[in-house]
Amino acid sequence: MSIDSIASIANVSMMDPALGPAAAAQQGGFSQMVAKGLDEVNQKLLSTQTDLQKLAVGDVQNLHQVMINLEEARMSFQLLMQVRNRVLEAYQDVMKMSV
Amino acid sequence: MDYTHTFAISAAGMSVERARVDVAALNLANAQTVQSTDGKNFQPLQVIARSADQGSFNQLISQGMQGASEFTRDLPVASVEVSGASPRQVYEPGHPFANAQGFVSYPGVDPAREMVSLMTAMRSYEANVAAMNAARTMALKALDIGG
Amino acid sequence: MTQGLEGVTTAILGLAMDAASLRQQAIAANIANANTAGYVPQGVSFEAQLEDARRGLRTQGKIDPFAIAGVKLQMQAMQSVSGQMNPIQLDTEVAALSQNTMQYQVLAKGLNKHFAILESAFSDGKR
Repeated sequence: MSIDSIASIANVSMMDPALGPAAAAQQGGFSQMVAKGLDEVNQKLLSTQTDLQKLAVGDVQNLHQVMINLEEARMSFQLLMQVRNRVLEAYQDVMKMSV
Repeated sequence: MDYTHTFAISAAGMSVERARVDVAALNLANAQTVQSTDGKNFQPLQVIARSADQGSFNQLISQGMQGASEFTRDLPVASVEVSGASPRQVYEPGHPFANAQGFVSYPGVDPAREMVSLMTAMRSYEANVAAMNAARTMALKALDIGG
Repeated sequence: MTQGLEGVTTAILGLAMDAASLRQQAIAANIANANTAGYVPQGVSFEAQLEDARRGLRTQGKIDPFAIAGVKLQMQAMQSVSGQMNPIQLDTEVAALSQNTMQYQVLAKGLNKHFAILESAFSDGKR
């Protein structure tokens, strides 16, 4: 899962809804916030891959938990994509402004 | 608890009930066979169903030595044993196998008891099948999580 | 081009689905031949060959591709632990059929979701 390319927008300020109130308080931690969010989504996706492999090999512990984790990972990934889209739009809006 | 254990549990229950049906049918079929004077021919059988032995080596092998939850230790296992019912004596003085007093001994099979055990075995079998279907439906519904 | 994207997961899921469909054929043959004299019950030993992969999953959290390279899928005669042929019990076979069907559906659904996540990455989150 190669989502390292999204890290290039780390210097653009981003509204992460989960960390909104805390982030508004401090101004300097946005890149760390983005990196942390990316890392969390990545970890979720990696753990779903492990779960799927366990399913295939026959090591099933908890089917509904696996499905719930899959769906959560998919939703957080889609949220990440939408956030990225909005941030890019905002960036393009800013760049369109004539100086 | 994963769904593979569920199927194994219901399958064990169904095997026990099938053993019961087989034994009841065998007893009923042999109810009228004559026992010779030393009583060696047909002994009525019964099914004893016990929980599986926890330390049984075969059980460990079949579970693969890992992931053995506590549920699989309580699987029922049926063993068929002689019931030890005393033979019933019927007075038939002209019978070739009659003893000195003119009594012929037949196996001590009670048809009413065998019929009852047949019917209860059938209902238990249906109940096991219902349990397995319920478990399967639940697992299929779990697949629908997230649309 | 997509083999590099989580190729191990796709490969092992595909292999497991192959095993499940072969097992379906074996069980159907067993059920059809339940009363045939001299018939040897068939089975597919897929999970037993994956002990290395399972160990890798437990310790490292992912499967080494070489662990699944040597898995052979074929129908074999089923033997009990003492080496004897077990007679075919019809209800056990039908239960195994049911479980195998469920396994196949679970694998198909898992593969579906896996591809859906990748696809949402390709399509930039747009429909």
